[in-house]
Amino acid sequence: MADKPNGSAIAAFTGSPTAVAVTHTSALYADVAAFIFREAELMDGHCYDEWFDLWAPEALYWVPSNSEDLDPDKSVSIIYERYDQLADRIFRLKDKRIHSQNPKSRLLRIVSNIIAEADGEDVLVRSNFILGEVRSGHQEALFGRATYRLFRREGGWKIRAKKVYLLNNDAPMRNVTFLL
Amino acid sequence: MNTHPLPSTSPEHGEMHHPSDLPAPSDPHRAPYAVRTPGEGSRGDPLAQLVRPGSIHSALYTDETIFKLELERIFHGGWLYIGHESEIAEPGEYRRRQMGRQPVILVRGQDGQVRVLLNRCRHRGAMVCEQDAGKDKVFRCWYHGWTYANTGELISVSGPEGYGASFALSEHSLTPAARVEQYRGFVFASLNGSVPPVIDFLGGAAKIIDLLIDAAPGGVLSVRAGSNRTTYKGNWKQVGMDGYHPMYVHASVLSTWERHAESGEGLGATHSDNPFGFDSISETRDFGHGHTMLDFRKHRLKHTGKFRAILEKTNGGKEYIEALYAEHEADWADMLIAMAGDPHLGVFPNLQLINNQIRIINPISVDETEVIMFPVLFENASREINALRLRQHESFYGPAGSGSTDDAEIFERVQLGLNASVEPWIDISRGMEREWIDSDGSIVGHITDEVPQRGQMRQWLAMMSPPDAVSEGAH
Repeated sequence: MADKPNGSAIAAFTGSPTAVAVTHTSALYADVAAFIFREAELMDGHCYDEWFDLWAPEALYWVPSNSEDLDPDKSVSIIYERYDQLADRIFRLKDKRIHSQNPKSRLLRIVSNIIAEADGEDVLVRSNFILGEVRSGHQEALFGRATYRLFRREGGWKIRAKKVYLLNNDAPMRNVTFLL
Repeated sequence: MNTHPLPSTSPEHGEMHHPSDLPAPSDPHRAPYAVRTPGEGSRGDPLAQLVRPGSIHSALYTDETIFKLELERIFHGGWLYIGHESEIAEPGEYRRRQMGRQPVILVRGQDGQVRVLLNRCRHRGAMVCEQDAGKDKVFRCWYHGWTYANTGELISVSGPEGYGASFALSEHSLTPAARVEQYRGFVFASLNGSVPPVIDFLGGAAKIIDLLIDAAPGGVLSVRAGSNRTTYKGNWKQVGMDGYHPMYVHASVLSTWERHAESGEGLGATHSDNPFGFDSISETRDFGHGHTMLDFRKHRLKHTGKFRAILEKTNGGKEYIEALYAEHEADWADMLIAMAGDPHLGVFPNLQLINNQIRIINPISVDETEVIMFPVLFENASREINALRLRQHESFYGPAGSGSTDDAEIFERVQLGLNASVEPWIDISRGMEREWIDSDGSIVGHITDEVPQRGQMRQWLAMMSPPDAVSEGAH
């Protein structure tokens, strides 16, 4: 491609040359893993406001379509949102007239394979998940990989960016309007 | 789901019954009294009894026999949209597509020609193209090694000495669709050779497709931005053109848009001053042949400044506006900018042009449908304008969008509800008393009227019950 791909989307999920792996036995790793598990619990529980509170104002929330790393300015995504659009998504999720979540999906996800990398004041985290969904008597299993750029603030972690690669993102899909 | 055999005896159906006169059907998922396949002999036209002026029978959405006939007569018997020529811009590029049950390859040959080829080896029938998309000079069948050029010609078989002197490679090309024609880059194909030229099939809808094409500087669209593929458990005809539903199905979205009606850049920005309201000047339109439109032209012309304002603060927006006025008459350029490249058109049976996307509807079974959404970019517009088009699309459409997910949920509720068929009629009469015929022959109604539903059903019946349906049944 002649012109430059969307810079922020690429940089958000790429460590700088000075980034270093976080060892699995370190306190930092345990801290990050606890955050990832806590986030999973909030998503499974449809705790919309609490989950949205985890985000920093520079939020980039990306669920690609068709692949994991296409240029989002040139290729369609399933979700590609900044803070304001994410706020709209949360606003709508709390509206009783969101029919695709009425009844709500029952969700349970297993998060594993956590790998972390310290990148300046940020931590890049990658994890795999299996997400079981039951809705209207029907069960779906979704598989995916989430990549985060986190930083520590006021004692907790905030999400600058999160990318969710769904394994079936090029296959016919039912609604995924719940939190991913 | 329903595999019951057809009734061996057919009840009388000489005269129209009032719905309440009909007995409750013994098998509620089947048309109770009317459906037979060709070949069984038919007195009159049984399918016609299922389509009344302002109502249709739920069997159209739930009956497996009718679904199979739809595949044969509509999807294998008439024009279907296959893809856009920009998807296969270079020789050798291909995309796999479906024509009803039949897998096909949309491919540009080394000779530059666009073809639609049946994806089936002429030897023992395996698919010769297994990738969804790609680029190659040949299609090779990996069962026994027969190899075809990307023009469809068989160029080699393995062990040719095993075939006699009468075997000619030239007689074993990949089978082309009987007809392939384009309208300004939109590729249509028919497996039935006896169809009118595609331009006649499109009729008045062609000028509406122009609303999208001409909105691209130079008229150059790029359909290479990938797709969202969605599925719902409902009949394919549920993806209609309906202007009556948004205030209910999309109530939560309208609330979201109201939060920032003046500042938003999402899809809401081109939907100001509720275009779906009961006092709206928006219209529905039926062009014939089942092609229908939610016609926002009058409404959007009133609000043309909104989209223009968004363009003007987007990098490349001023140049975009200038390009449209340089290429087109001022009136048409005004219209193009007001419409923001959104024809909101349904081309029967499998194509819709809605907001920034081309949409293909694939029937999977009587109660399952796949909808593939291809966002359309403008080749000669800035990266920022195209990114804006993608973000607008994602906000409402796709499997996590705010709009099409609620549509799909309602379609599923309809599909389940229709199984309650003691009173089997679906009412599509809204606006019958106030629709009118425009100078171009199209039927026009209020945006909330069911003009599109009636238009699609007229075409459905015309294709399902052609005048010679009885004699066709003889062979």
